[in-house]
Amino acid sequence: MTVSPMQFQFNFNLPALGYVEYDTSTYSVGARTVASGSYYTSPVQTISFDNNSNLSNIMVQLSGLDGLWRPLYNWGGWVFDNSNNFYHYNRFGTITNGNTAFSVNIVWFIQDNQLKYVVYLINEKNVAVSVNVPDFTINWRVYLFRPPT
Amino acid sequence: MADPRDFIFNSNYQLDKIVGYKTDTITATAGVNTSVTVTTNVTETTFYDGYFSVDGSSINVPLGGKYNVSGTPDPFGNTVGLSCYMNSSGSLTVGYYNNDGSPHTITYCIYLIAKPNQSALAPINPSTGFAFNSNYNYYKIYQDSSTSVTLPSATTVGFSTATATIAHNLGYPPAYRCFVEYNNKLVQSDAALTADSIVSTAMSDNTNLYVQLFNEALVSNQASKVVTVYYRTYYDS
Repeated sequence: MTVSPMQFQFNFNLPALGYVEYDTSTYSVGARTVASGSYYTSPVQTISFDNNSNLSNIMVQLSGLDGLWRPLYNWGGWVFDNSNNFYHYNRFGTITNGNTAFSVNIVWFIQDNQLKYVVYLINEKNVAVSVNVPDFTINWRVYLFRPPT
Repeated sequence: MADPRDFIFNSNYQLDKIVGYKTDTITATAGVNTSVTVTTNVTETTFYDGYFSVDGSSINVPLGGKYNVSGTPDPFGNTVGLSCYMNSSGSLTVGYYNNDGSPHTITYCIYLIAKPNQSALAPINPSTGFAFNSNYNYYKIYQDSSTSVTLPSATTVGFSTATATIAHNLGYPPAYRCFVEYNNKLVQSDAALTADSIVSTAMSDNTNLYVQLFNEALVSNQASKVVTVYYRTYYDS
């Protein structure tokens, strides 16, 4: 027997991917000056859940920068230019260009009903100057999936 | 019309359907950086999502992520990583690396999710658990389509970029999934097709979904490329 999955709104032969949503607390790193060739590391932050989950879709909003919502993988970051506009996506520090200023990188994992994360602000300029990272707020939206096992 | 977000499920709307499941264990020797292609129960690309853990740790890392062997959210130091893309045959190419001095065991779990216009297929046996459970909410699909994007050529060392802008006009930033297809490979947004020098990132606001693509000329010049972007937005927020 075969089934055309999108022919049905729901089909008992095709398990549906349920989720529980958490609109979590926000976090502000605060305005920082990052020296040339250097980076700032925040203390480890923790978000607690009622239940653990292996599978998640996590989105963050960088309010105070460009304000867009982004899916958050646990590695990689977003490079901003001298006007605090999104410039480039990177997998952690590969782009250095005169137009770039700094990157915001959020490294996280889920363990024991908690999401633990650290924010890195990296000076992305390839010249010997420091950059000023403005104060911005990270808003979290976490979907923890409950796939059938 | 009632707000679709008020329902955990509403038969007016499609939801994400699991059409496959793949789990396996890989022994990553010290210093390895390679990939393995594994078969699945499907014969064409699907959407997917998943996670992995290392050495039996309770820390779960999303596909495309990295695990620091120190067990802390630290991007520096020794790490083990795993990512994947899906081939047009339905197989998964699972890339992994270990830059630690000791071998590590990686256990991964990947769920295959029906994409728009998915062909008829033999469903997996859900064996245990529920096909639907009212304890949970379900993403209710709003838009489910694809679009073509042309990436300009790029010269070493630099990149070109192009953006697919999809209007949703929901008045709030919705949940979404995006995938990028090129050269018979399908990969999640914000992951990379390294061999094809393609990187992407997705962003949303109250009006639009943006999928920005990069043609990365890090080591050699890159020709113009035509890329298909799959996007699925949800009423859920």
